[in-house]
Amino acid sequence: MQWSHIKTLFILSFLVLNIYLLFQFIDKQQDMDIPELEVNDLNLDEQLDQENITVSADTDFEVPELSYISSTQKEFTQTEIRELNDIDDIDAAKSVDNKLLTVEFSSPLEIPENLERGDLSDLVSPYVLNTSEFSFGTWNHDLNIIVFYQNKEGYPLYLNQHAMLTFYVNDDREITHYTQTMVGDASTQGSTSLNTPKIAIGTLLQNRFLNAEEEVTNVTYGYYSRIDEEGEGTQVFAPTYKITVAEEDEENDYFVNAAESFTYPGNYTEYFTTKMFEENYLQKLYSMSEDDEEIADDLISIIEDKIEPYRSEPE
Amino acid sequence: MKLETAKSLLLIILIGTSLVLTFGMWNYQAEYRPLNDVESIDEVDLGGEEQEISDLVKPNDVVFKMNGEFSSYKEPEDSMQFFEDIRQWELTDIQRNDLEEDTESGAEVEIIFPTEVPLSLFDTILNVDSTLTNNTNFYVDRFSIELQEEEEVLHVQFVSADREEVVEGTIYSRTSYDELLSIFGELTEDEYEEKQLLTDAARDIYIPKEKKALTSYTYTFDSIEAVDIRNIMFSNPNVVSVSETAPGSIMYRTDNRQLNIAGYGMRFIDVAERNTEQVDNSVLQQSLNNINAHRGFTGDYRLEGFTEDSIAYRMYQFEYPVVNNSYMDLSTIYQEWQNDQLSKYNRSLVSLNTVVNTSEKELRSGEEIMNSIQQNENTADIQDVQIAYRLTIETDDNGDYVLLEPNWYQKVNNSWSVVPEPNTNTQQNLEGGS
Repeated sequence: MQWSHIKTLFILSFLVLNIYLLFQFIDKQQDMDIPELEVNDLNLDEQLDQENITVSADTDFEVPELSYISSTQKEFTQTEIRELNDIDDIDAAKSVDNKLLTVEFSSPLEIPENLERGDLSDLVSPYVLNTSEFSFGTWNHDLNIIVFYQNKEGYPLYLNQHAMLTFYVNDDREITHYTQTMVGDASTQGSTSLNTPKIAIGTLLQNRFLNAEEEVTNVTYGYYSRIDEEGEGTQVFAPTYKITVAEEDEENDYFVNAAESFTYPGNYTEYFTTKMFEENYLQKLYSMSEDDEEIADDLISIIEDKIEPYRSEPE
Repeated sequence: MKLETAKSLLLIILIGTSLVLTFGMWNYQAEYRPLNDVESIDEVDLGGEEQEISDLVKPNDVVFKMNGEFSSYKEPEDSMQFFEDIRQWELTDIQRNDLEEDTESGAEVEIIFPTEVPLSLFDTILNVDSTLTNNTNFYVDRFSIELQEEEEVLHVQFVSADREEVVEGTIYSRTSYDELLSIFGELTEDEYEEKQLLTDAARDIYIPKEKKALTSYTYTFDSIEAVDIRNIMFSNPNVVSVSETAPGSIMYRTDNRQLNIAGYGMRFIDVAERNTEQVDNSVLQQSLNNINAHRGFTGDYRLEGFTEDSIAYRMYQFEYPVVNNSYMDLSTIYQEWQNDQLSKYNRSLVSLNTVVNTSEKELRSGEEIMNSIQQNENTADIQDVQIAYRLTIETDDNGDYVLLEPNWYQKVNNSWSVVPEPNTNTQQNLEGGS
């Protein structure tokens, strides 16, 4: 009889213990489970609404699986120069390191008024190698240059001096020269999960690059590399959204890394002036000029005239 | 009877479940996928010791002054031992005053550091009963302890680098007083050497008079693996491109970070622009945390100098600084910080192992050094004069070795170079500048 009592007592106490343990276990499970890292789209929409920011851009496009790519710079060959020189109306030469192609129009190429973007590439394509690989990037009115970006894996390499087709426009809307740089075949570097365009817009908002009353007018996907110093071989391009923000009449582009959310304002004029012209193209042109390349001399004076007002003060 | 069997069964089940639950609680680990499908990376570290401020800020000269004469311990190890003693002495009555004209002092010891540091750092280095200063712009590169024979106490003085203010304190301990007093009584003994003051330099520098001979060492060394460094510097090695830019020079790159490893050194940059919350940490504290996080102090590194956004540490061996001066500087760790983010990190990947060879080397006498420095036009720019080891990599059939060769070095514009031979002298047995 006593043994039966003890058993009942044990049953009761173990029951209590088990209930306690169960609660503890559930508690612990909740603590340890890392909440899904999901930026709430709804929340963002509300926030945009509150600040009266409109998103007129299409943000629902698919982004590719392959994300990071790398590539080394292409060197132009003598054959390509000959090919270009066979085209009427232009003279071509390449830099000493074969990485910069310079072309001069013997009679300037006029750009008709009211030209559509697509027509612009039609206009220049007879004079350019591999035009199919390039797409319109921007027309910088400070320097009056038209820039095309090289495409890789079907998407543009944004603002990269080593993958760029640059047309030099004079005051009469005529193209007098162009330069070209290219990167070679791309290899896939690795992929990682990407943020959606919406999240990228959220990043802009958090970083106060996007402010109240402004409008997001365009979002595109491409590749961008922040480190583009030459001579060190491979460049790595990160999957990047180019987001255009309009504030009244002014438009600004931002490059937002699609994997890590780093944001870089697209300071085009500064980039062209300092990094591209002063530190790279001009240096190459100077050494071409030493070899008595006439195209280089002309181009040097054109570029120097263009960048003169935007040069940073020497420290 | 039936009931009893059921109860037994129930009891067994309950005991069982309680065991299962207890066991489960101990072992429960949430299952979650890493955010990016990264190959999992083992935590890597460089195997150095965790360092504190007091390990990094150490004097490089301790000078005893009495009756206008200067002396030091011959062996820097002794000076360091003495400084360790001083660190224990209890400093009280701390007060701040305007600097008065130098009064002729009797016997005092001056403790000199390689670079100016904020006085507030000494709160953690010395044994103080209240904070030395709240002024973050109060920099010192030395302090002095004076014997006050009437009261039998020690008087401590920190003079600010701009020589405007002074923070003073007193050490009342009798044992401390006696220890210092006995040193002043034995300065003529063998373990001490006479020094002379180099005037006209950027700061007061004391140089031993006697000729010295030091040992050159050949060391085997370990070099940190490139892959380990990559895993520390890149959060997602999956997307890093690797290329060999020159034989033996490896370049790791992403769109915003670049790591170059060559000749046992590394140079890293990060150009990403982040909008991070500003934390109110000094560069020293930030870089200390950062380097400790991967156990990056792989030798006896000490603070060499810093600015608002950069900091440098120099390797020491046997209490002497080590100088390398190549493009990949193998004797320093250098960091730059921007917006609380590490933007530049250059460092040596060498850690010294065992000595395989030694040889004696006679150094020029202090007299010669004084002469050649005073002949120099830039005497006023000289920040320091020290015996230092020059680090070079030597190669033979069995591989690479580190050679440490002592020589006289001078520091000008924060960089160390060999003290030049005096012009009049036609000795030509030594190397020129390096």
